[in-house]
Amino acid sequence: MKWLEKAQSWLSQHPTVEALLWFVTAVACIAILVWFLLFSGYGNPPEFVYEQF
Amino acid sequence: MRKLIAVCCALTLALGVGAAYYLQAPTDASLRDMARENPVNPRPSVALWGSPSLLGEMVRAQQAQGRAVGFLLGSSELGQSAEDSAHPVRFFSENDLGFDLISMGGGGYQSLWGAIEVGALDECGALPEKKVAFLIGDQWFMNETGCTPEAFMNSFSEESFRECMENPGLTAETKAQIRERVIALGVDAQTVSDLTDDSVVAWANRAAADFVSGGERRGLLAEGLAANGPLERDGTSAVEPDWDALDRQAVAEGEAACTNNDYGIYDDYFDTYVSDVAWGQPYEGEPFSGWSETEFSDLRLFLKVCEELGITPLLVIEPVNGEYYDIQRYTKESRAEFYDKLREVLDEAQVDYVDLSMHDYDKYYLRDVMHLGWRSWVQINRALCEFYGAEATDAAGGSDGVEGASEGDDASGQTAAQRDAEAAADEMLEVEGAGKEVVESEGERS
Repeated sequence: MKWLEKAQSWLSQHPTVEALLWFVTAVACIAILVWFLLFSGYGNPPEFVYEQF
Repeated sequence: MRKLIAVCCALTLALGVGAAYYLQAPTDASLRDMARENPVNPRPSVALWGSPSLLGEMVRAQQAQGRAVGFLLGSSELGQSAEDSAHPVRFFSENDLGFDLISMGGGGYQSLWGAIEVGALDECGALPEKKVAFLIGDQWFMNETGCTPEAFMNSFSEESFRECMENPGLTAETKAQIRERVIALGVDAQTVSDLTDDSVVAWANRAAADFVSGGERRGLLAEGLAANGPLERDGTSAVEPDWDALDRQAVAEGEAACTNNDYGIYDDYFDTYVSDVAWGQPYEGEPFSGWSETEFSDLRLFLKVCEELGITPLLVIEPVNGEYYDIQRYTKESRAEFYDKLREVLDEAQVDYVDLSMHDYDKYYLRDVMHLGWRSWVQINRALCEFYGAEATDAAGGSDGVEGASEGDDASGQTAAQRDAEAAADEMLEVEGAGKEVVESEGERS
């Protein structure tokens, strides 16, 4: 896991980039939550299929 | 610290985008203005079916200009009007019969939806004449459980349900029955509680739900209202239909549409669905006897809602394609049992109905094996004219078209002219027995 240590070391030397990554990650998490709750169809009733053609 | 600031910025951005999304949606006030400016639509959008408040605005806007409005509730038969000039959506928009008809309902919209919708429309003032017409689909009763959760959830409107529950004319018992059925058919009990409770928690839940999905809903309502038109008719172009000629036209249209079979089924439908069924081979198994008691119970609930609210319903008993259903387990004997039971329920409630059940074997009363067509629509249109037309005459009476609405009101809110029109309609309608048949069928006359 040397690459992880290197990445963490690099980020600690670049706090602005680290903050920006936190910002992007937070926005992405919120976007996924909003998509799931509003646009994914979760909680919608099952589609009514008119059986009697 | 920077990370905390970054996360807070992300939250702020998300809230800002959410607020912008919420605020860009039309407001309730703008929707009401749209409904008042363009109140005419014979077949509103699905979104509007679930907004009795806006439908009430449309009705009031037309009434203010002396125009009466009637409602026709039903299911999938209302969605198919293209080649049938007698279809009520076409007929009443292409011909001025003295009143405007709003047709609502689609596949899966059944008795329970009708009960809720009537309660809601009445609460929102969309039924000033206290009348509603309702098409009863035989197929609703062919499933022993009646309305399925999938069908009901497709038709359920939170706004309609809330307005129905707020109607003071309904008894606590009736409201409890409706709530029980709604939960049984899939609506979450918490949602029902939030829609019927006046507590702070319920209000907060409703507000949260509106914040999340209200924008989209109002957008759909705005789209629906954009398809409305202005009121252009003032009753001076009202016509008196020649019903015999319309029936002949219906036969001609039916003949033109049904050229590849002898069963009165339009060509595409016959080719697609029923060309290879065992025509002419009667069903030999046990006839169906499980006509849905649950759906009958929902129908009684609909009738009870009408009775408690003082609403006069006009119901229609639809036929089916007898030759098709005779090769299924829904044989003639089975259907006779159903029709008898249905008439019994309606007679018990002492409501008016148009009985087309004797036309199971007559061509062009259906466009396929189950949906009303051509000749049925002519009879139904005639019944609707008799049902709504008397009120329309009164509403449009006088030089300015609005006199009849306020003069000589009695305790029930009816004018003298309205009472006279109702009495005349009752005399015209009454036949022997507890039930009343609005239209004598062609079959009985012949």
